[in-house]
Amino acid sequence: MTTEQFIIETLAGANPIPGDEPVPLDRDPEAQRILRRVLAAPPRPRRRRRIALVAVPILSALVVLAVVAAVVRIGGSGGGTASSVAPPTRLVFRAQPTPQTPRVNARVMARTVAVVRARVRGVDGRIAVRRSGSDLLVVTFPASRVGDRAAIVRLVTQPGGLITFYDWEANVLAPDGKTVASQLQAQVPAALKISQGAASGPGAPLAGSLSLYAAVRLAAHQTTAPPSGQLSRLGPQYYLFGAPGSAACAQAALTDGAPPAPGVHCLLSGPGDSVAEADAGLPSGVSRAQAELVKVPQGTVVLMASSPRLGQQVGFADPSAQFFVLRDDVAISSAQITNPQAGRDASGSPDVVFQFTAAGERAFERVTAQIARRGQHVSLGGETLPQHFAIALDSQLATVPSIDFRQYPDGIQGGDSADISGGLTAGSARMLAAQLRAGVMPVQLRLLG
Amino acid sequence: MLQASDRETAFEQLFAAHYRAVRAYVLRRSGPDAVEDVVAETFLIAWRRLDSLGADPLPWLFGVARRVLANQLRADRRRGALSARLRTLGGGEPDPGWRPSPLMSPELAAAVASLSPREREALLLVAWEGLASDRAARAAGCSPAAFRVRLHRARRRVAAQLADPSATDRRSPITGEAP
Repeated sequence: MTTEQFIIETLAGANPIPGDEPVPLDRDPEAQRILRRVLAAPPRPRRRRRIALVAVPILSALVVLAVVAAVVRIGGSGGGTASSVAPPTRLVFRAQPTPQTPRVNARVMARTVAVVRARVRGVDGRIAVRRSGSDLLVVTFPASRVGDRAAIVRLVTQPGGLITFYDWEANVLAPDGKTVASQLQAQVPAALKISQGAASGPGAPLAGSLSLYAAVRLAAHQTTAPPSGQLSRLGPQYYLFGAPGSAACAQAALTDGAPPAPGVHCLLSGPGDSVAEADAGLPSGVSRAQAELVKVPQGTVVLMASSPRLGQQVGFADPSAQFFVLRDDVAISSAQITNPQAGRDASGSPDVVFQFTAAGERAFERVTAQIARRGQHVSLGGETLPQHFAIALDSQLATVPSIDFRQYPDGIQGGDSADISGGLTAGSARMLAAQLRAGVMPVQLRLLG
Repeated sequence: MLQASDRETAFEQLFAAHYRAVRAYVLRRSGPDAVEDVVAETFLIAWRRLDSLGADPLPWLFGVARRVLANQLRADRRRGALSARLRTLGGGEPDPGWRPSPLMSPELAAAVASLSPREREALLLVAWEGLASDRAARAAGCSPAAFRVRLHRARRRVAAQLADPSATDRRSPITGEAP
């Protein structure tokens, strides 16, 4: 007997349940309970599944959900008589181009109106949305909801629904500002840690992640990329930070109702798309002179790590939040996925299933082939270094799965459906599907008045 | 498509044939408290997919039970909270967990514990579930060739670990799987 056969024999000899128990099933109460449970459930056809991705609960979806919930809650307590006598409140937004929509035309405006209507639907049927002129959007709501003005503005302008796929190692930056992929063969420890992850896998906190301040500073040192369709964002972003232990941080903490975090820079405002927007977000009682302005150039993104703190979601300003910096070279975007539906996966867990468009299929195959080739290239010499792609929802990494280059040396064909599961509840899966279905706002909406 | 009464009959036959094996599979990998729920969930999925089950459904049932166990393990780790979880695409396998057998020597238990989840599962499907490689590969959700590689690696690692218990720590951390 060889040593390897001996291992199997030894293990088999240690089998804790070596054989079937002799009790007939009809006299086994547990078996009968299970049988009754199963037969009581309705049979249900299952979808075919091919690709399984795992996501964190989607912060952005929950943010929109929170806004919707806030609007509903406030609206539910609002009086009805005022609206019958007071004129409705009117908000005007201007549509501005994005990397994916470089020109605002009638078709784009029609899509924008549809997305905004999908968002406000269910909040209050009395909120009206219409187009005005070539690039204006008018939202009208009853005077009784005037207290909800800020929540409605957020609901309308939130980018939301933006799902982006990146080649992880090719785009994520190590602390030295170089891409991780460029440092794998040299076995640079910091790059290996970001690529292969720690206990919770790549893209999670402690897997080479940075504080927001460190991430934004790293991003700020990158060069500006020229405009292209591969960018998720046009233009720079601006952050305002307070110095560790400063009065500004104390004031910001007071405003947020949280204790100030000692020894770290605090986020006072941002990210904003302009300096004026960042300034406008400063907490009351904090002046611009107390803040450090940091600009992240076009072509670089700061994404929150995939693993939120157990038990609660964290925001950008939370001192415990962790981040990664990526080159903004999007492999697949929201425009290339279709038909998102909430459901349950084969094990019964809530999930969101979607398909790729023809262009999305090609892009998925292309990027997974590229990742598989790199995996093969860097795994020479007996060490396997699985390579990954990252899926981000708005500004948070959702998941960073690996591609098995042995199983998929030529990439994965995206012809069938993909699904996001894990960490989703039935409610958050429905919300995510609805947000993805409502679609990405094709333009950037700016409030005029 | 089967009629409703035929479906029930077919399912009861499936259940009678494989309940013991599925229950034992689950019990070997989790505590007794979880067994009923995991087995029920496994057969519930089988009930819903009854029309598409092949002639030899046991490996498939083991595969479903493994995923149900892995989900439950994740849920336990989350303790009800929303949290992140990575599952590798293609190469990664959900970890159904395992319990060292009281019949194992501490050295053997440590050696098996040092394996990656999929290597451990390959070993146990053969040694404890008694499956031949081709059926075990279906249970593990991989090709027979890939399964044989996993099994070979698992046996080699356990053998090396038994020969030199300090060998576990010599594995490069970058080749390990995320738990």
